Amino acid sequence: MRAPFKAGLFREDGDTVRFLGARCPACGQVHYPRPRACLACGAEGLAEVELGPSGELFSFSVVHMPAAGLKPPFAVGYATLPEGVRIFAPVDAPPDALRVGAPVEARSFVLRREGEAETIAYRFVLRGA
Amino acid sequence: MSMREVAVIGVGQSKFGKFPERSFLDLGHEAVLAALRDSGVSPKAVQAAYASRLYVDIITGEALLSGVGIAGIEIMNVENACAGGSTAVRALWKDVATGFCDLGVAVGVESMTTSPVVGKMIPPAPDDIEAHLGMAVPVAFALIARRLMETEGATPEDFARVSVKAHRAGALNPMAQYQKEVTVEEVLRSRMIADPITLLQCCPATDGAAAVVMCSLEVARRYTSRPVKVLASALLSGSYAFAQPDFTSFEVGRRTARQAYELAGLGPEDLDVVECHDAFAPEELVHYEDLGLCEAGGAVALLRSGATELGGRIPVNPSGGLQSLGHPLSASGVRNVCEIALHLRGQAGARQTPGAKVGLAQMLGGAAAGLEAGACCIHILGV
Repeated sequence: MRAPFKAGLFREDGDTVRFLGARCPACGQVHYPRPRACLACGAEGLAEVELGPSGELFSFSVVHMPAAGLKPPFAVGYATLPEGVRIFAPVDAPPDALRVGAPVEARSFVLRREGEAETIAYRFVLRGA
Repeated sequence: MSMREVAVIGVGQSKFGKFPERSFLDLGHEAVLAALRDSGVSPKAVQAAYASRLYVDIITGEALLSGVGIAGIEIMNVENACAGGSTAVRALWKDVATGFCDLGVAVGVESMTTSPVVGKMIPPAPDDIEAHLGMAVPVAFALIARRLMETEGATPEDFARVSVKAHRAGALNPMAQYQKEVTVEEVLRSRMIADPITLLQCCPATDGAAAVVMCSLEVARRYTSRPVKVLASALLSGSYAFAQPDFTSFEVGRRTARQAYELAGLGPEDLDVVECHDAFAPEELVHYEDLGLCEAGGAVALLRSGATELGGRIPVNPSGGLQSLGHPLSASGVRNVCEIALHLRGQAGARQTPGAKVGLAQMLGGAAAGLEAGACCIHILGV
């Protein structure tokens, strides 16, 4: 059994991940995750858009303490998507390959496995790696 | 709205540190009794009180204050993460300024070592999607630090220097958890937590309490000939992360500072001393800019100039800050108002800012996915 860590956030598209975002028809603000109404202007009836999988690493850290059940050391970062949205996720890359501005791609991975049950989440990998 | 002038007439704090044998009541009583004693106010004269505690049971304020003779009045319990204590001060300021009461107490208290939930780290919120993916408070500040390195030329040595500066001040503060200086090398060589933040750039988990007695300026004259005036109080919630151009500035930090300066009718150039949120050393650089202590992009140069050291042009965190004094979360925002008041009264001992007339106490509180920060609260005091 394979289930996302939270429903309604992303869709697997082969290896890659499309983020389930929304665009405000009134002010154009793009949101992730999808809010009930536009957080910038309050308009309702947001258009559902898929974001990613490509982006650019905006900031990163190699974490040496346990968090969210991830085994340290692990890298995390924010990537900026072409739509302007910044998304946080683990980054699967050797620490010395991490650079601000590096092109990345969102992929799915198994965050947790308990028996037959797999919890799926997303992470960034360096593009071309 | 017509508002009355408000004064801080009493300050008190418990010793900060790890006291697994002391209850939150014991810590809180020490702080409130010290503040009452400092002000000369009898418990029976207290008309309203606000109590802040994050790792909370029910009715912290009622349980705590009833132990020092304060009962049968309006008491509210306040939570605003690290800004909880400042928010309690702010709430009391509003009550006194608007005339709901003439005199009250604000107290912040935390027993982190005995908390059943806190452990050594602030636990992530279960609904926070970033928390599921490895976000934690030190990680968020590491991501800020990386942007400071990328856009402002900050180095790991600069971040270490913030911690060294804090510990140098904390070594002079008898109430501090760590009264010990550290070197840049020691800070950099301490255990890596979230690159580039090492252990000695993280505030410790701390037990402690702090309290203030505040009243209208008119009432203050009955108790003291030298009241410390609250020139401004401002509290704002954080902006959406999508509206934050970079992690090197908190929009809420800038907005709250602007509001506080406007209310006080002065600017950052008028400040003699500042206390701010320095839970993780790199963030102090962000606050330099957001508080207007330097131009945007000028924080690294300001730090390296030594201006924010004890004895510098504008000492920042002369108490030792959260880094060295320790960080009992909800107590810190009250405690840093106490610290500013002590400097303005000339009673800050070996860490005194000479001739200080105006000081600012700032706290940032909380983090959640989608928000740049939870809250920012600023008080400006003057004599």
